[in-house]
Amino acid sequence: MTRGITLSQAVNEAIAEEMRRDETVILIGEDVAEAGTPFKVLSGLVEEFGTDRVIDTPIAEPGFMGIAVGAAMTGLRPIVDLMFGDFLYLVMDQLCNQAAKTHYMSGGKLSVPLVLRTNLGATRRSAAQHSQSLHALVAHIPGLKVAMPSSAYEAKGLLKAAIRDDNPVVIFEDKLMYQDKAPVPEEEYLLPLGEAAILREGSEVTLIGTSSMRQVCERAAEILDGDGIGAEVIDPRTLVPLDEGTILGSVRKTSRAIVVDEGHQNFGITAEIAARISEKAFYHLDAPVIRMGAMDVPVPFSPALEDLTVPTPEGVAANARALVRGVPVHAP
Amino acid sequence: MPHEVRMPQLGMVQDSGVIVAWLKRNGDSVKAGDPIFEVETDKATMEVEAATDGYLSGVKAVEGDDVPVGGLIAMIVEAEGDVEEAGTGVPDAEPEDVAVVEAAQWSDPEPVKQPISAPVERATPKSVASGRVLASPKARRLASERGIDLHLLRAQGVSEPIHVADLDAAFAAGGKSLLSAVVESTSFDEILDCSRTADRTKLLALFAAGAWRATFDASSVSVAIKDLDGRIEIVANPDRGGAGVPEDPVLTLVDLCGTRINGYVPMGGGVTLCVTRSAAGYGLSLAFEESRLALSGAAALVEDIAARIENPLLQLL
Amino acid sequence: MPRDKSANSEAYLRMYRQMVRIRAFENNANQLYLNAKMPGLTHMYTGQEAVAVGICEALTDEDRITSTHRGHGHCLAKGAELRLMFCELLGKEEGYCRGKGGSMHIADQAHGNLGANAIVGGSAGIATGAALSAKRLGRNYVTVCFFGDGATAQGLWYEVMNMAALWKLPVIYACENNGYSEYTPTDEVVAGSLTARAEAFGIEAHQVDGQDVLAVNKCATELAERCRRGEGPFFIELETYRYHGHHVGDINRDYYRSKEEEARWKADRDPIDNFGKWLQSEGVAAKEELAMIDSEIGDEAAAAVKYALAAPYPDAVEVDMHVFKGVEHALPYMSGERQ
Repeated sequence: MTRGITLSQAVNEAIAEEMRRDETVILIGEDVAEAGTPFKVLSGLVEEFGTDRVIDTPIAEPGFMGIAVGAAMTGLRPIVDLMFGDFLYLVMDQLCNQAAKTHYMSGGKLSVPLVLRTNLGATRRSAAQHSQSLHALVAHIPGLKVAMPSSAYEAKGLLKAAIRDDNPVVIFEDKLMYQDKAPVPEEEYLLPLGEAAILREGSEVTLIGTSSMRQVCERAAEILDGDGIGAEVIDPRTLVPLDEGTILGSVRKTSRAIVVDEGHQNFGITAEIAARISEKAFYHLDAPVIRMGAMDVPVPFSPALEDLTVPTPEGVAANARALVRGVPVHAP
Repeated sequence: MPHEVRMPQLGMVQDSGVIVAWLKRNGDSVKAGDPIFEVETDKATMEVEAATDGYLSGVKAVEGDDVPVGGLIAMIVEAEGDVEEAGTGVPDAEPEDVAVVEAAQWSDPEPVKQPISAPVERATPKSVASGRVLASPKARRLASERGIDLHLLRAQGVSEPIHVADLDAAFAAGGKSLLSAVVESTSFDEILDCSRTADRTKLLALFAAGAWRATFDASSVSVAIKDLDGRIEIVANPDRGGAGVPEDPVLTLVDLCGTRINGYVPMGGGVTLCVTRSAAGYGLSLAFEESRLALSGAAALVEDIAARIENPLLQLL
Repeated sequence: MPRDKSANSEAYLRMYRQMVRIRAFENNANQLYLNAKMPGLTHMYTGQEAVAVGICEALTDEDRITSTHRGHGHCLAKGAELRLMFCELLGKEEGYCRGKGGSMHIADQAHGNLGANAIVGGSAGIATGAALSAKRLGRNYVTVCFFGDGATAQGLWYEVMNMAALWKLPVIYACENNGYSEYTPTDEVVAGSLTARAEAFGIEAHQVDGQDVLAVNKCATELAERCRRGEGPFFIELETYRYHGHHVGDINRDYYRSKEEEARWKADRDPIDNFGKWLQSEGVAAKEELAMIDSEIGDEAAAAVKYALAAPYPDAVEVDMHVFKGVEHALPYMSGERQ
């Protein structure tokens, strides 16, 4: 049985279920208890689990991140709430120098089972310090797993898997999707990290979209249907590990690929996935792999400008059309 | 136990040090902490202290020597009687003891996974007339598998970059090229008239095979002879008395000389030579795909066949 | 001899042995480095032995510590073995971290050592988190966060002290003030007083002579017990001195401290010499007995070095192991290969 619930409810359910199942799971972050975060994602949890397990911290991101690392090393399984993805810069030492490397540096003796929940996504008119999509920063660091749920269904299944994982997992929710509903099973389920989903089959072009860019790709595919072009849509679901098999299998079939992601395009996720396709499916490519990331400018405030910076279904469809028709997107 | 005095690692980026001055001489008694020599590195000059009590022995380096890090410089021995004479020459680092120098010493350098293969630079001579054809990786791979020359596709007017769809189009029915020639000579008629046994079609097959062999330097040349009833006979090496086993024919000969038909372009692939007769002489037409047979080769072939029909004795003798 | 006196004697001699063991370890490590037999870089604990030993002798294996880049002393004082330590320093397979951590990252979970840390002040959060676990999981252990005076300039410490005080966590912040923040005298980088900084968060602060192992041990024992009773957190500033430079090879250090100052500390305030003299004056051990201990431990250290030098390096196949727990080899895993 499924019912439609919002992404916010899905996250809340995942945390509640895991906290009921495992006493060692705790929530820690700024205004996670009574306030339930500015997005109200965590509302109600403190009433059920109390302030011992739903821990409000001062506004001190490096501090509570470091405390979570130490707690994870000594028997707890903290879920760290980082209010905005933009604050990742504040926790980089504790996340990347400590959490990510502890298992390796200790030769496998110590481990850091924690989840860092944070968000991404522009077009909320929040300007440059509350709109960034910084998942590429952490995907670059060996020792961190990175998940990118694209709907309520993925948000719940991936978060539950992340909480049970014995390693640091960073999970990015799109803050514009918190109120979006999707069918979610009533029964318990987990989505394993490292398994992509083919959401739509097509034979002429593969559209790979992370997080909310999956919806952009799906809408692009509908537009392309009208042109008689069959687009396949893939949601990688996790960046680390990355399910290359599913992506490469699709590209070998369609010979064309567009990678769409809301992180900045330069040196980003789109570049990484495009590079892996180019390296591993080169002889099956009938067109260059196209990257479509966020424009490489700080996110502007004005709606007139901000909307220009994020890939759109029309833009994806236009590029797909060009590829299928053999019109170079960039002059040869 | 004698104690080794080696060139110390003093900075983070230091490979060697110059011995500026000896503060103790060979055989001198030293105490732990006594400065024994001064070293100059890239940064500064500093004193190196004895690590243990004893006597300086077997000093190997003199002032001014540049000694690699880890190089053995002297020993400190416990008893005065054990002191050895000073040696000479710049000591080398002793690799079996030194761990800082080469990574290869502590790990098997064989890459286990994800080997980074160095790109192999090949000098590709640029095709004189054409240069590199722009094509997708898949189109290039398929062209290679199907024996299609991308230059010929471009020559036919296919626009770059060439995609798989362009290859497919080239294979479709419209891909035939036609070359035709007229031989205004009756010499061949005379040969045919002189010999009752001579078979025009067989002789034409002989000319065609000889021309193919000469043009393309082929060793084995089979020719298919097709009539208007659709019958096909394959003859191995007709220019060499039919020796050998018939193979895939290089071309199909259609002899239309006894008819009023003056041209035939077959469906499908392959090279087809039609020979027709007119009042003035013989007509030749060669249908072919430029993706498989270059125009220049086809033209040379037609010229050669025409020359043989024009002057059949040369060929027959 | 009364029973408790004998028990005390045992404890005193154990402290002496542990300090001598650290000294012997560091002297050998220094020689290994200077002779280019050791890869990388290392920071000597020599001179500060009474701090690590005085505190760790007040702790059990259940109690946790976090350590620093100058961490060999903490590690040994918390119970690590010489052989496995040297193996780690030399990057050998048998080392505490299978050669993946080296001098600045030795962790020894069996003895409650959550690891040395090469980021100055980087372990303040980890120690505080371990204390949060103790409180949340109802365990009775104490966590000691070792750090130097240099680390007091890092913001992280203040953030976690604030939370530790708010949440009354069983953690002791032990600041080893050895007078130098890398190559800079501490009074050039510390404004005001260190104890006042902790006190500003409502944390009880103590100052102890870090060269006096008994004074350190007494303070640590009391504070650990009070932590167990829920009275934490605490702060201790331990005045001590590092005999070597910031790292081995930091030999030319006249520009930041004088040879006379170093000689004075070594002559007057050496923690091992002074404790040895006290043991003799109290009749706990004779000079010969102490000399015997020195020599035994010297031999043990020499044998451990010999063992480690001959020990094998890790196999190349290990390079992408231990990146993720539960994943044998990280590289194929990250490309989506199912494990």
